[in-house]
Amino acid sequence: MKGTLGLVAAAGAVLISAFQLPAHHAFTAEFDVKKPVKLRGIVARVEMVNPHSWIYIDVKNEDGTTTQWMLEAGSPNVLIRRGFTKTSLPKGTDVIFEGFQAKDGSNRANGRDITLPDGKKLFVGSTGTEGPPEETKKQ
Amino acid sequence: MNTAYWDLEDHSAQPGPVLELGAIGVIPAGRSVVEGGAIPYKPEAFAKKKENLAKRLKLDPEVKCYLPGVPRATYMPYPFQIVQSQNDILIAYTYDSATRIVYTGKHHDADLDTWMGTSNGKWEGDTLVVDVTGFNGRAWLDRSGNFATDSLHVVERYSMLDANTLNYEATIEDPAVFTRPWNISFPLYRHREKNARLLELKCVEFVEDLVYTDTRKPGDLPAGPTGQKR
Amino acid sequence: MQATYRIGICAASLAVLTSISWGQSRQAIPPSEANFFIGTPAGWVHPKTPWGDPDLQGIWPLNNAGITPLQRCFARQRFPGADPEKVAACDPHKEFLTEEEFNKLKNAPKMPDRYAAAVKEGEAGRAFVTGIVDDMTPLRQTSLIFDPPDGKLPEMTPEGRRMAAAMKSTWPLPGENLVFETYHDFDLWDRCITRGMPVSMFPFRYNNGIQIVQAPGQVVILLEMIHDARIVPLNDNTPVSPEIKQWMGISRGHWEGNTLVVETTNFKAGASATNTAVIASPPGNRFPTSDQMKITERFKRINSEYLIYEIKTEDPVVLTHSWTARFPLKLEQDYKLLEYSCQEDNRVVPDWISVSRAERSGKTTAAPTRR
Repeated sequence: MKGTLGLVAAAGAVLISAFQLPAHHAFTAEFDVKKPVKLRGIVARVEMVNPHSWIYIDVKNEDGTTTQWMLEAGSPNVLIRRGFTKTSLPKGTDVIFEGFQAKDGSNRANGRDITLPDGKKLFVGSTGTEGPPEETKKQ
Repeated sequence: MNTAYWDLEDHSAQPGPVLELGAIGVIPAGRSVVEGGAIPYKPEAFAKKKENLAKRLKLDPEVKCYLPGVPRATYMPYPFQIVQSQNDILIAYTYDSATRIVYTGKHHDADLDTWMGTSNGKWEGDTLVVDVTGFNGRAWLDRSGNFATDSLHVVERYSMLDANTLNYEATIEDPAVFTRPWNISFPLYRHREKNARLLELKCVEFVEDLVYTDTRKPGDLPAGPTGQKR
Repeated sequence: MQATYRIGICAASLAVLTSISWGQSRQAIPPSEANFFIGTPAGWVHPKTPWGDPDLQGIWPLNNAGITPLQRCFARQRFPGADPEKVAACDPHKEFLTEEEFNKLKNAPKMPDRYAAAVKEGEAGRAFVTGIVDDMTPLRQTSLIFDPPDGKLPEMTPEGRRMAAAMKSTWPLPGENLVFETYHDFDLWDRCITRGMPVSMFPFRYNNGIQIVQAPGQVVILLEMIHDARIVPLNDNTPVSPEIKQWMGISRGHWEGNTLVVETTNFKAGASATNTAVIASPPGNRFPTSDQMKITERFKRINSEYLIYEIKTEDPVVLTHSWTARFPLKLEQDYKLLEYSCQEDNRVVPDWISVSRAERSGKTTAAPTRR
């Protein structure tokens, strides 16, 4: 029946939206889609706190100075339930961060992705070396 | 009821940190709840405690209605409730609606460093022994700057002195701060009002004017207690 | 002869009693709309606590209802996939999907856990920073609300609408351009004060843990989100003055057979009754609550894994009619309830004010600090 199929489709659409919605707030209110950032830096610390976790990375500037950026991440409760640990992103890891800068121009950004240099992916429990845990076990 | 919430160690009556409160804000005298009297600080940690004390209005997490941590939650000046099922035990505190679950079945690791830690309990005869780990090191032990770090480990012992009196003991260990583990102990008295119930103290609402300093426009705050502008 | 007669009577009574109790516990209750298609197996006996109360203890995370819309046939303009024609064709009195429709929903391609797949493929970094949600399961009902019968929130009174217009939130109404200048421009959840009622008992995108703990004379519902212990003393009719108002109200409970009934009054006005995190909620988190609100909940366990939860909200100041939601909750003893300290690291208020000021003045400034 048309009505019920419509409902199923609507529920499906709802599901996509639910997974894409940022954790807490309307993302575009705080961060600027016109100010994408791609930064490479060393993880200084990770604060697994609510309402948002924060990843602090030290980015080396061209003139040799360092700027610390704070990158917004998800609620640690969900991350832990999904298999992350408090050391999933260890201090000292060299990472590339992609996201959008805060509209007030501060060194704060909301994330799209964190990868390791050379395009390698970040795995849960990664110590900064390449490859998923499964492959490491084979050795 | 003791005054450990002000200061775990011996203290004379003294003015409180806020002048305008007058006698309402005094610190009454109290005897130490620390076995042996004094907290065994390492010298550099003691310097930090003194700094905390000097700047306590700015640094004490209680001022900002942050979670109290353990063992501080136990001796806050508001009631708490122990809900003792046949399995896990829930402790609900009035202050800031803080809560703890004491797991008595399967052991729970501290997956995350938290304010209230992760509590695993077992019975030794009629004493509930609670092992608390996984602290984030941000809570204080009282209003006088006594503190610990994220290597804090607390073991509590709850037993009944009589039908209406609880005996509370806690062993506090933090090799980053103290030279050795040390104990606190004191009785806690059951509220015997008819149909006593815990009321709510969600204090975040009452400290926003204090916490969000940079985002206040001049003239936003109500005048201070003696009419002064803030 | 007499002894035999007495034994006969006793035996007969015993047989009758046994057959009644066996009958009650033995007969299976098949799945139907009445039990949300969750049956009760033959021979199932309601567990009891050692002191004889029905035992509801355990972890019953609210994300079991996480993707069921609050309101039936709710037209949400912002939904990219919502076809207005299809929404208009939706039957507002159809409370449950058919078995076919439900199977189709369960097997829809988006259903499998995209997050787990992403992590396996090495997208953990993306998952970490974009924020992820708790696992969600589809339910067979078409909405959480069953009353009013069209599955929609009731209309507000004129006073309700007036109160709604004065509410603030970080979630805008359609077309609204929000300005943040002080903490008053945020809602109680943004400010880490409370999620309030009734919405604290509805699913959020994450941190849906609720744990029921019982003791003689008490039931406590522990909420993971912004740490709350809803204490429900049993059979306590001591009056509490209306002068005492609390965000989570004052609750009283009693048993009706094996069903826990919780009545809550003495609410502090001001929290939003709805939250946009619950699918098909009105936008903006501007649904007012007054201090005359009364909430009645029922918890009925129907087998070892499920209970049926019902929550009815009455508010003569705000609502023209009460509304009642009902949904099953599943026991998940492995769900990890973790501490949700909120105020301690809440940057929302200072950061959003900073951004709002920068936008309005055209200047950029460093992010403000907080004590």
